[in-house]
Amino acid sequence: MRLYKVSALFKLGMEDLTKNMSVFIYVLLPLVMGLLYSNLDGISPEYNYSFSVLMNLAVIPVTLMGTIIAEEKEKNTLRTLMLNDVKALEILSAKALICLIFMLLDNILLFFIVGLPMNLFVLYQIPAVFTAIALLFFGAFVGLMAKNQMSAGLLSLPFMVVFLAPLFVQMMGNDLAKKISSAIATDGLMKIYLAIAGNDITFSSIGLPIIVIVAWLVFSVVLFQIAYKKVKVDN
Amino acid sequence: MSTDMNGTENMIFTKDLTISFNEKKVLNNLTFEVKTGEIFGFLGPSGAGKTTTIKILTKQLIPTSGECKVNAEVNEIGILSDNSGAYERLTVYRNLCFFAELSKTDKSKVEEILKRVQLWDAKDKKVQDLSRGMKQRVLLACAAVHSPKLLFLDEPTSALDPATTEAIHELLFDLKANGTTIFLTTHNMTEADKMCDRVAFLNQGNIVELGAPEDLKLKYAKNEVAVTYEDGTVEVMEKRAAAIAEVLQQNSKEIRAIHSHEANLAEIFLSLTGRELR
Repeated sequence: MRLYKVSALFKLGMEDLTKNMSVFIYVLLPLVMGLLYSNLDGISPEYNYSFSVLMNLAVIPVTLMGTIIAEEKEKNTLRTLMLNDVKALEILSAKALICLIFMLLDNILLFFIVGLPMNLFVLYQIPAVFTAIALLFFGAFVGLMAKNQMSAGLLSLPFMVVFLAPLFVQMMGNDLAKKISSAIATDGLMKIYLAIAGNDITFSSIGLPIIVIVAWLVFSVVLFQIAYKKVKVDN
Repeated sequence: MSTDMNGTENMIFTKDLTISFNEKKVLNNLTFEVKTGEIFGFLGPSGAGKTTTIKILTKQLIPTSGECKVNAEVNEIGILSDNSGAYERLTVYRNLCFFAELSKTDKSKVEEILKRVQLWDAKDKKVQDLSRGMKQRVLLACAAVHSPKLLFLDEPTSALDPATTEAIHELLFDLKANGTTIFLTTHNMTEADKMCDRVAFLNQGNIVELGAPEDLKLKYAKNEVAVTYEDGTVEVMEKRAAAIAEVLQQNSKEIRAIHSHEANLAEIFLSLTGRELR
């Protein structure tokens, strides 16, 4: 991977996205949800933060990543880049970096909106970034499979539903649903957040959630590679 | 790597290149070479397989069988095709700077090439606000900003006005003078005649003729002379001095012009395939 190419792609991508209004909707959505929930009675800051971060993770690494890659395909710039000696990994790294920055920016703003204790700030960000990396590959998969931005939005919907499911399963109280949900990456993140909030950061409390997140990372990388091989050549 | 009879390395070499889609042969045993430093024209009607050939040569398609070798690294190649795109929300200048940065090209080249394609005055305009012809020039500038060793151009002047086409031709001649090999597909026979050192006629996936335009015109020249008289009548006669003298001696009409009846590239293609180039 050549860093000067990633840097050029990153700078251009940031400049391009700041001129794209639809991106602001993706970035603002989790912030608005966090703001609304923080004004509701009976919702703890910890749950509010989990909810908003999960919303953020479902929107930015999956939908935004998918949409910006699909736009490159739709406008033929992805093909132009690849014919200009830019490797898929370099494009993906630059896009992932952009999405991670937007996601982290939202997470940081949400942290202050929700009002969690500052001493937990770093602890809350590390697992979110780690989970986001797994989800970014799903976003890249969506982008590669989608024909255009609109179909990227549609394709990312099932992923959004899956990654937001643990929030609703918590409210349902159904044991089977909880068991299924525990195999989802974002459920792992919620459990890690619960451990942080309860000051119970031990292997027994966060070991399994970490394994679940790593498994999703491996799964997303494999899925991305299949999609990449499929679209790499035209025949 | 293959060489020609003079020992010069070929930039592109293909042998029996074949590709089929759904068992339909789109390219059939294409064998040709493109010499280093030449402008090679790939001519044929729509659907003949020109773009497919470029896609194989640039590794966007995998051939069903046959060989192809390109004597240039990916970073030494420039491509302008229907599949090329620019960042529409950004300015012309920003786009060019980006492609220059990707190839570690000095930014001074950006100004130079934008002036060459007559876009310097529009450098601060967003690409989305440009006309189709201007966008095509932006894409050409992006493809050529790093002075590539090999440049693939798929119908580069199809949407351009004559003045811009002329400017593009000058740019291509400059690139050629600086050592760039150009693989050009075009429908425009005048352009091919003017620009190309050699041309290949492609019809239904087969190369039906290959050679320098001048050689082909001589090869397919009709052995005729057309005499245009002052009264507007035209008489076609055999291109032989004695035959011409005999006819003219018997005729008392004033002569306006005498033209040898040379075939042009479009006529040659038509005579070879029975199809017009569209």
